[in-house]
Amino acid sequence: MDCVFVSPLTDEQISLLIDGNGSEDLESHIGGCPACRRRYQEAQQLEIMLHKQLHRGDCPSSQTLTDFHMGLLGPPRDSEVEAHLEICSTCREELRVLIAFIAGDEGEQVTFEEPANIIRPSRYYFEAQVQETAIEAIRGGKKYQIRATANNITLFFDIQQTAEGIALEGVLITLDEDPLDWTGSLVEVRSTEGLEATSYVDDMQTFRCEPISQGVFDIRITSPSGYSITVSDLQVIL
Amino acid sequence: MSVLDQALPELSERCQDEVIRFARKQSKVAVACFELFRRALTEDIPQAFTAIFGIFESQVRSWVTQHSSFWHTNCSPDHFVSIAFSNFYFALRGKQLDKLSSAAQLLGYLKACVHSAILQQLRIDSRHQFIEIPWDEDNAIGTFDPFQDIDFEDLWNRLCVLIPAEIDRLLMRCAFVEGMKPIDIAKAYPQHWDTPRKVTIALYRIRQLLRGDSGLRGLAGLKP
Repeated sequence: MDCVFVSPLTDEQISLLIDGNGSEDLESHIGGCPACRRRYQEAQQLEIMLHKQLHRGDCPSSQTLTDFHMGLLGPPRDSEVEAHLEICSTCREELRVLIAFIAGDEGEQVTFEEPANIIRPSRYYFEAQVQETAIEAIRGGKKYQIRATANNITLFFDIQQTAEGIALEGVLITLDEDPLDWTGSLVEVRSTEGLEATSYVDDMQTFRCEPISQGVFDIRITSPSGYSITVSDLQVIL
Repeated sequence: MSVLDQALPELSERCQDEVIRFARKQSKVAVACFELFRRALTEDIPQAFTAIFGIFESQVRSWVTQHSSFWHTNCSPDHFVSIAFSNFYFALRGKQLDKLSSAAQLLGYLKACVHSAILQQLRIDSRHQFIEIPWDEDNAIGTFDPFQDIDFEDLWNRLCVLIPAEIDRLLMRCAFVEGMKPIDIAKAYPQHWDTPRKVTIALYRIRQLLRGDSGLRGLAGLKP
């Protein structure tokens, strides 16, 4: 297939388009010429693959950079991060922003007014619906089991009476082929009054929040990698 | 009564008082708050951590909304509050608080955890933006799985074989690993490329070489 214009786009011009610096002429050339559009698409496809696979691939996590700055990393991690900072201007910039932020000197600060349209991207956020509540008789009392699901994630809750009040136990089960690891996720139990209890998901994907009172709660589970599940209006009543 | 002997509810109340006095600049002493942190982190008492979360939650939320990068994310402040507390807890849990020996230092670290929660989210978002570029199905070339995961080191070593010059590798790192635009690269490394145009020219040579490699073409779903 040949270019329909006088001369085909050069590789440099395609490079300019990939960098988002193409002129209107170049854009219209791409729009009107299937042959050059195909070359551009090929170049862009390779570019997407490289960005996706390499983006910040050798950078320490933001938390590691923070720990480095606070002197919490021991050897050899501290010297590894130091060596990385020599070659990575983006991590150096992250560190600069961190230092300014801690000092309260980030430049112009914005007074927060939450816009109505803040939307959590769905790939990070799951809203679990309570599906079923069962009551099981056990020696000396009753045990309440609640099941809530969101996509391929199922949560089972047990409500138990303890000497100090009520304990809410939970387990997370994911049915994906490549399930998310929720270990280390923060569990918050909230009522309209505020925070009732916190806990953490252990490596068996279970958690236990206690003591809590009877009532209706929202449960929020947030993983260190940024995923979260919310279960609304969970009735904890014995 | 020493803070060490105080029950958790009284200790929490005392910590709240310390926070109020600190905000009014009446005192900088925060022994009760430090003891509360110690019980939460060193003794791993969940109720102590719940108390800390309750006392400092609104402060942490205001740090989130004051962070200059918060507005570049698409997440609610509460999301970052939860991640910051979570990272804080796991970084310090079970350890002696010898490196952070005051409540002020611990709060400084909690504030730093807000920063890392937001910046980490931005990294995830920018990685996903490449996956979500709308793809022209009608003109698609080969099969391309944007969700495939290739080991960073394997891919980078492959690129280094194709691009042997150190200066080209630096440019390749800036463009593909750090995601820098030509204008930013020229600003960061004027000794090598003093204008964005020079960056683009150097980059197109690199891209040409990479496009010629059948292994890379295969990974990108292009015909060899």
